[in-house]
Amino acid sequence: MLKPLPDPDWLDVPRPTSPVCILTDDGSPMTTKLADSLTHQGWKVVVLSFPVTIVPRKSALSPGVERVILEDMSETHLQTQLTTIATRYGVGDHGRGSEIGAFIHLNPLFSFSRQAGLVYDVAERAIAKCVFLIAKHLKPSLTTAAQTGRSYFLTVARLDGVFGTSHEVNFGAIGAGLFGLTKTLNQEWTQVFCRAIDLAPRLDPEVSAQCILAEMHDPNLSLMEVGYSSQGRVALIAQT
Amino acid sequence: MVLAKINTSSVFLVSGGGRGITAECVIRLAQKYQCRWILLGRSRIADAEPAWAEGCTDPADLKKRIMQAMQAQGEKPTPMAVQKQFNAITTSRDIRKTLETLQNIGSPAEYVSVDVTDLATLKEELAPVVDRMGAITGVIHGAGNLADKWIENKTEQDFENVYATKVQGLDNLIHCIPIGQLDHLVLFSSVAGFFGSAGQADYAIANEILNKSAHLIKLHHPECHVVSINWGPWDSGMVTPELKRAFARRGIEVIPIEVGTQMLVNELNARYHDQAQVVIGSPIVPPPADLDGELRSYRIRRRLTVEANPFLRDHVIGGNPVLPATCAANWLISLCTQLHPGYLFSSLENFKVLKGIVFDGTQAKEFVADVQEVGKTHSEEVHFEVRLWSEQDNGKIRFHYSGQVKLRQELSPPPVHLISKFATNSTKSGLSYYQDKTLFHGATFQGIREVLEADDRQLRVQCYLPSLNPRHQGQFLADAFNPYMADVLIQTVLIWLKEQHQSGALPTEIQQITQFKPLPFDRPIFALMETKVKTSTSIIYNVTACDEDGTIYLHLSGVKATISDRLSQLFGTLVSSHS
Repeated sequence: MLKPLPDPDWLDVPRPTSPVCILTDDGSPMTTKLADSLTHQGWKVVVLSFPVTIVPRKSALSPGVERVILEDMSETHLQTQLTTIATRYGVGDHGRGSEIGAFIHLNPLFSFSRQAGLVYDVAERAIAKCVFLIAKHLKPSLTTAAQTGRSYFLTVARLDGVFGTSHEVNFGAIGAGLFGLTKTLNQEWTQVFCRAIDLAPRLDPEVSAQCILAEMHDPNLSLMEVGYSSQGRVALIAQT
Repeated sequence: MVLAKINTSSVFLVSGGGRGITAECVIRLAQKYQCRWILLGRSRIADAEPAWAEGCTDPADLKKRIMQAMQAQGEKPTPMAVQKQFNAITTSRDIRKTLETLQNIGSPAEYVSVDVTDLATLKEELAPVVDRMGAITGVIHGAGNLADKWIENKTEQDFENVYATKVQGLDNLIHCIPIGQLDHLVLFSSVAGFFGSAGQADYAIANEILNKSAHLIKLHHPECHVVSINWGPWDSGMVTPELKRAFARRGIEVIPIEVGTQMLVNELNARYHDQAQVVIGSPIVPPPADLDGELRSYRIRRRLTVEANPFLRDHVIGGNPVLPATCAANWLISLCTQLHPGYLFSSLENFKVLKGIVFDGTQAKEFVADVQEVGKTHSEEVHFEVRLWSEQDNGKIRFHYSGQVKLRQELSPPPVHLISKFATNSTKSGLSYYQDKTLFHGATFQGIREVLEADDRQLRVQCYLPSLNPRHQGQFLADAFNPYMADVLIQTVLIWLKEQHQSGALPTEIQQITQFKPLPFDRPIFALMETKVKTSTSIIYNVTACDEDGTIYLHLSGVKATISDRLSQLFGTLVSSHS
């Protein structure tokens, strides 16, 4: 069942010592807005764009925000691009793998008509696997960065903002997997701030970016997943 | 809508149903309904066992015979080859046993050896079985694959294997059997999906997809009884006695087969038709992180409005909402517990109300908490110093509250104090004190139900608060510490003062709050208030709170309150002071 939550408190997080934040490109203005907000917070934002076959559009980026493109979805190419990001934009302690301090995945909106029924979308499946592999390869960076400040692994899905419980929106089912991944990483990487967020598809990009930023500053480390919709901020808990 | 019941002509298709837990579930359902079964599994069953294996059940002996048979045929009996044959024989036996058991129950059953991830073969193999058994009315998707390892060691293939059986498997099953024809669709998911599970990133992903798939299927087929069951660990061969002991130490319960299979039967009751996702069993969460020696400091901001904290409207003094001191205590405490998941609130010491927060329109918008770790002892206890302040318009800092919070991995067992046993006949309703404004508190805080006894030293009361909607609790959730019940305990002093013909009072200080268990809603709590020091302007008292069995939840010691006539006036009534 859903548990209503108040707005989070705001933890003053010192300027990260590993200030590169990788943000995946969902092809919407949300990427633009969030990249700007993160830049304003002191992050060096690198937007990682998927191949056009996976996400057809690329978000517009403000000056100062970098873009690195995945030409294909292979693990080797992904590794190459992650290394490129670390060496090109990382100003951290080279050789110790702490150049990247944050990873935020914005899952593109996969929304289908009612007639389409239950959809396991091929592109969404490819993205889910890619995020799984990104987690695998960013583990050294994020866990090292956690030693000197708050480092982040965030996934943002757009189900219905209430973890799929509304029974009103025909969202892509595979995006739900991101919650399982992030909650697991939260257990494996106890020092890394891991949070899975579900945003109602109708939320405005500006509001969405503010919600994500607020979550990044939440002092509450026992919360692993949170949803935003017209019902406000909620968690999903098992009824006892 | 007529809800379909399972009967003898119901036909269930079960993936992963040949053996193991899923087979146990099938057998339990068969005992109840004698329905028909199509069981799917990847393993092939041999038509007959070789003569040398027949009747041999001892694993070591069977392996020896396999080696001998291989040698007799001129093959090299490598440990791997022997294990493979051993597994083939025992798997066949398990599946045959499942089928025999079903036959004895009177439930027709067929086993089909097929990989659910292979759609074409699945379709082909299912068609003739369906002709024999009848149209499928229910599906149980129990198949699963594991590849447990830390994320950095996972391969793409691990992801594919684990994902395919669960998700591709479900997709294939509903391609073969349209959901529209199904009365029941049960997905075997796991607490790994609901809570996450270290070492099982791929499995957690797949199971969360099943969970949300169940919700989506409910959207598309409201008439179908679909449920994703997030099972905790079962007491099966997978859980060794050592693991079971390790689980027990961490408070993780394993599901006995008898219990789990009966839970599934219950879950399929039409009563739960619209429950798309359930959790059965304990999460497998790692123990709280070890404490490193480093002492950290945090600055945490909170914006406060009356709108976001509806309970404040029930705590109004002199026309303005005032933050109850116990809510401020909750603020200090929850900041600390949130920073250390798995650690429990044990005590708050030297809690001081330096300048309470009054919502009179001139209050600050933002309040700042400085949380400082001041001690970590033998990785069991963390101590904090917390100070809460705001900046005034003129730039000056105003301190509001301060105190020292202690968290522990485990709380001491609660002491017992039978307050309730001393109940007298001369009880008085607590409600009258709210009516005559001795107690100014609105509905949220009206928890004193009965005054059991009052004398010149102490007061005994029975308290009760119904559970409060979290939205009503706003930013002060009764999780680590229940500030609403705690406020009720604080209120006792006002009744005692009234009975002694004294004025109203408000708390300014609590020497120590000791918690053994968080105070509950929806449950009668007995409280004993004892006065320690009393002057004309102040009173110091203790409160002990326990349940009807005498189990102590909370102890407040050295609560200091300031007494003043003016407060009584602000509460809305003048208490006649004796002369």
